Amino acid sequence: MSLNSNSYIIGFAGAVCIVCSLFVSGAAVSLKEKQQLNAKLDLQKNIISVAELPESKDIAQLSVEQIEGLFTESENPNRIEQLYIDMETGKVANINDTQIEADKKACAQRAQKINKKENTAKLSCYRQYQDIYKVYNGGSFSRYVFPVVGKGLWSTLKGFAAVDTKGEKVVGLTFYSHGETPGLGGEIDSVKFKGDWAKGKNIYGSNGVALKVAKGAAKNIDHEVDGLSGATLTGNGVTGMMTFWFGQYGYEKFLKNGGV
Amino acid sequence: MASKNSEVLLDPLFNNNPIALQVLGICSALAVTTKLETALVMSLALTTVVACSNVAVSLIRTRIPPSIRIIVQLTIIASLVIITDQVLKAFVYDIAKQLSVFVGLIITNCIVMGRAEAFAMQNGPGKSFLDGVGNGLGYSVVLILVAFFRELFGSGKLFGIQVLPDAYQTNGLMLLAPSAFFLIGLGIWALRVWKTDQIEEN
Repeated sequence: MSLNSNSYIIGFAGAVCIVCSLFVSGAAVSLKEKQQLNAKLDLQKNIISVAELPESKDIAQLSVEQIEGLFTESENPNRIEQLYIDMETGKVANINDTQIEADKKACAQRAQKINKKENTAKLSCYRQYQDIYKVYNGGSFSRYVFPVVGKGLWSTLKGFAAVDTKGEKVVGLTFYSHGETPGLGGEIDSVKFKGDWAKGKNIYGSNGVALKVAKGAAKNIDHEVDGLSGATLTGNGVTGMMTFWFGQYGYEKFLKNGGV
Repeated sequence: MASKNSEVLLDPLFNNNPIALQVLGICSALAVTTKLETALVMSLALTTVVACSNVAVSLIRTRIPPSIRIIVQLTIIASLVIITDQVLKAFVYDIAKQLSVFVGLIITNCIVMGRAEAFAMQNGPGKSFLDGVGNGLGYSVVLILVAFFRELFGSGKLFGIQVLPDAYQTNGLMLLAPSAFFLIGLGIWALRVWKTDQIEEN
């Protein structure tokens, strides 16, 4: 058969696609478990990085067992406890895995119910039960770590915000996933930007959440951090994210209830 | 086309370097060379992809319908890149995160496509493999050299370990993309002083 006949061309293209797709799906399926484990470890490392435990100083040196130990060993004086809270009541919820899964599936619907103007994080997924973390340093409760998610300029920013025990100040912020422009918006991952948040910023002002990424240098250093030059929209994204997650749909109820 | 195997393998290193002479694959050479570690992983990934895609294309070269040959090559390259990306995510997650989109962009790296079209379509699998490895290494040499200087002068480190004394004021420009242009330019200059036959005639 000629190399140029239509049926040969279509047949050949089909065969190449099938063979290639077998290889790709084979790799994806066989490596999935390892990748998920890596992703989980990466999350935990990010939580540790804003937890400000002695272990936070050199996270790269921690072994897998040490990292998991921080999250699972309840006798460890330095540990991180995971809790679920009900975002409607702001109280701790005792729920099981099936409820969590069901909640995750319903998250798109819940996000649509939020008033558009109030959805400053531009979420398309909003869960009723949110996981939060309590950090114990040397046996005593030292800070909260809350997951925060919001839309930046190009991508969804995913990170963790650390809050002091009284629920008044943000004392740390880190991002584990974003797709902002390297060197501009990508600087939300920089030591300087994260360091600004770590200095402690009062969450609430006279008009609710007052946290803000300024345009240029911060004027009100009680609440604001310095802006990133060339990345105003990413900065606005971070502001919107913080406004949402510490507002009425976010952790406000939980914090005003006195936490746990 | 009856060149010797050793030439096929070693020519792309200096005599016919894909970045320095053909000026291909510049995009990733700018992006992933702020640290030696990422440059090394990127080099390995690209070398693997070029070598495998060359072999695969060469194996089926007499059966590929000429009218769809580019698309067939791209399908093969794209599959290999996705597999590479999956492997990186499974075994070196942190580095895979830093390389982010650039592993995916190997698909559009002209070196891979260029070698499949220019070499593997005319040569047997053995030689194509050597050609792929050679071109991958040629890319790697430039990447690693650039990364070496950028990490050394940009952060005073090599492989993340401090080598220059604390008194050294790190040069921020070295961490930005333009410095890679300067370094590649200087590299091409040095190479052409050494190998004068690469100088283009006016």
